[in-house]
Amino acid sequence: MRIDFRLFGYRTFAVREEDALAFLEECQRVGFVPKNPKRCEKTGEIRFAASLFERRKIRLLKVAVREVGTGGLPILFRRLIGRPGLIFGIAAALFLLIFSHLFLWDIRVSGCESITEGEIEEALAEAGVYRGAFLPRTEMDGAILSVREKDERIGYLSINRRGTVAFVQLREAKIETSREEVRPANLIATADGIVTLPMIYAGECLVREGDAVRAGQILAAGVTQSEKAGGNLTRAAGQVLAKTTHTYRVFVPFSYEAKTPEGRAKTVREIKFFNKTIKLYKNPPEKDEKCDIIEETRYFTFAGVKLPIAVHSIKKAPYTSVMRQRGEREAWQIAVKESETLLGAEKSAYAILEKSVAREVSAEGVTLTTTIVAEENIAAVAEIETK
Amino acid sequence: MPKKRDFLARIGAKLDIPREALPGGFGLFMSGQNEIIVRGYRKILRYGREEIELSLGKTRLNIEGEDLFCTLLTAESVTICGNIRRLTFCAGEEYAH
Repeated sequence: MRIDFRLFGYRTFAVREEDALAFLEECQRVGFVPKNPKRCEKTGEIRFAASLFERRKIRLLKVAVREVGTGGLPILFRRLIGRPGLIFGIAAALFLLIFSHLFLWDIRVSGCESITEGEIEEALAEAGVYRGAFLPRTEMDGAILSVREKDERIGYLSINRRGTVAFVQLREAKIETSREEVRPANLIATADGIVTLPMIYAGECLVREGDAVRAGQILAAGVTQSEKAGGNLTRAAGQVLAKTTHTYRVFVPFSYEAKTPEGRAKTVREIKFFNKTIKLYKNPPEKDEKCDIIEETRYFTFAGVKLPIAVHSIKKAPYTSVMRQRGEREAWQIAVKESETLLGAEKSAYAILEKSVAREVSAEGVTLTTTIVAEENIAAVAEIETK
Repeated sequence: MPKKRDFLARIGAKLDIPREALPGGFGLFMSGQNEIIVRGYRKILRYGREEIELSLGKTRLNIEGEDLFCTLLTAESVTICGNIRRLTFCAGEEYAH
């Protein structure tokens, strides 16, 4: 197709083969030159093109002419105007193509051991290096110095920028523990109990099997006395197993506050682009009502790479509080369940020797008292302050 | 009228002017056996896949062949493509349908 047709637009028409002679005569009469004539092998029709400016001449032809297609830039633009989403997409693509290399798109942190990537990203953001930062105004060296000065745990930090991605390499500082080890310390009891097995590796053991000890009492001393060397400071170490008693109380009231969902849950969505938040629509005014709030942020990914665009949704589910009553049996079941959960969490800390359960029913509710006799290590390090 | 035509023909020959440039003249240009450009035609008398007949004023040009097709039609010239087999000139201004 001719370039002027592409630029200014064209229409293609078809004429039946039987009307070809009449059509050519009409063309001669009107002064119209059919462009790009072709014979359609399927239908046997003669197809030709005409520019948009030749509409009048086509109308003057006294032969049945059928329009079969359109093309060219004006037609394309007319189609695009009807699709604003596509125009917006093209504009956004052009914008990204031109300006995207000026912004930092991603930060990739490597070398984290005890410090989390989130902490590093937060520290970098405070120093001016964040997703969406304007690169010509971002000072990487200054940010490195600032982050290293603020956090003692960072031994070495470097930022290598490749395109629009900042690769952060981190080496954590090794905290010397050797000095702490030589600090003198006692071993003290963390709970009341009866000593069953003292195992002291360093320091002077001050308790024996069968001794009753109170919380805070010294079990092994870091200060040792000898006739030859006199007073000597050491760091007491070891374990002292003792029989201890633990009491857990669970109270379940008969009357309780229950949540009843009221009305429809409303979800407000926002677009997060780098650090900017764009509200998709105007939020309705907040009402004074009790509601559960569930927030969720979903980042878009492309070929496994996290993009700096996310949809942040805040779901508000309103509810009303209603006072309800429960029976003794139900309260008892809840109390047993809660008690088991409580014990399960602390099971790893000691070995249970005895267990007794006491039930008490009052007008307000049910109280479940669980008493545990267990064997556990009650020794804890308490450093001695020296000048 | 014939005298005038003869006069124009003689002038054309003397001045070395192509015949199709003079009133009533026509010219044929063939490009291989598949394309023919006819200048100074008056009218298309017959149009078909195997035969196209053009009026050239006093004479008629009959083009015979296969898959004949008019690819360009202007007020002065017509271009016909296809497998051209025979060209025939006949006397007579108009073809009687």
